[in-house]
Amino acid sequence: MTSAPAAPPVRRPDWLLLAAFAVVAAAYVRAIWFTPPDLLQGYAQKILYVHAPSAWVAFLAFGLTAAAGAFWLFLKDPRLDRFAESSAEVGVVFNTAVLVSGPLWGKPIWGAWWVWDARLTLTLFLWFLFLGYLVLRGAIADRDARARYAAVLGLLGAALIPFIHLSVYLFNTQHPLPVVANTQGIQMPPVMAKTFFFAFFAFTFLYVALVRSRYALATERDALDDSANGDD
Amino acid sequence: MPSTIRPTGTTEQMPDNAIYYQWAYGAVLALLLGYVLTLVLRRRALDRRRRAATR
Repeated sequence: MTSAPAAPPVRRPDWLLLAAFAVVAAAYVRAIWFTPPDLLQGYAQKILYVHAPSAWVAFLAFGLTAAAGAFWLFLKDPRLDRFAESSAEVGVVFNTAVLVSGPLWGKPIWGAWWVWDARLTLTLFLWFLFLGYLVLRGAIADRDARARYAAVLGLLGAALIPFIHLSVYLFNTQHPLPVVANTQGIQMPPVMAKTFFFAFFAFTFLYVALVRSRYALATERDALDDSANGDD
Repeated sequence: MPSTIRPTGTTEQMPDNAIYYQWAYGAVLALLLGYVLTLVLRRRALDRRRRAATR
């Protein structure tokens, strides 16, 4: 026997998501109209302001997916699994942004859309891995088994992240060295650095808003599944 | 070689490659908005499922 679910909640605008998009729009405006282009790279250098923050958010998202999965293995709290699922999905979106914006910088600067360089290849592997993570989740109906397998895959996938960051030092790569996360300090003029950090803030804010929205969706879905199965 | 980014130069000295960053900015924005659209559609699908269950 199944129990009837509650009536649909009243839908209100997601103000946090709208605010996050407004901040991203402000970062775009600053990058496009209020930040000078680079002397040698020209306007293509502005791709850095969406490429690097997207990479940061993807790494953050997958790192938190792994952390939530690890905690789930001990605590078995469904909220952790829902967070891991949400963070991984948003991470794949930002990882896709990295893989789209990177070649658009590579073509004018390197003369090639893609090179099988360690950093690029590992980033592509990371994308495939977390795409597989989402496919795996969709293929397992049992909630506990799904959370367990996903937690292990998330942990193994996130292990790639330090290698991706260090790949430019470990291997002879074509990818530029970090302009901020390095031992020499910030390698760009203040006007560019301000835009760079503002874009990092904007994309991180957007990550929080997207995960919150996706988490709410997962919570509603699970509640509906529970009521359909008569578990409530 | 350190990847130092240099300050702006004159437009005459710079390569004409603005189209690449315009495409990159457009593609990233389209990707993010597209993802939000999937969230909206999935939410509507949940509402439909809930309504069907209450009937």
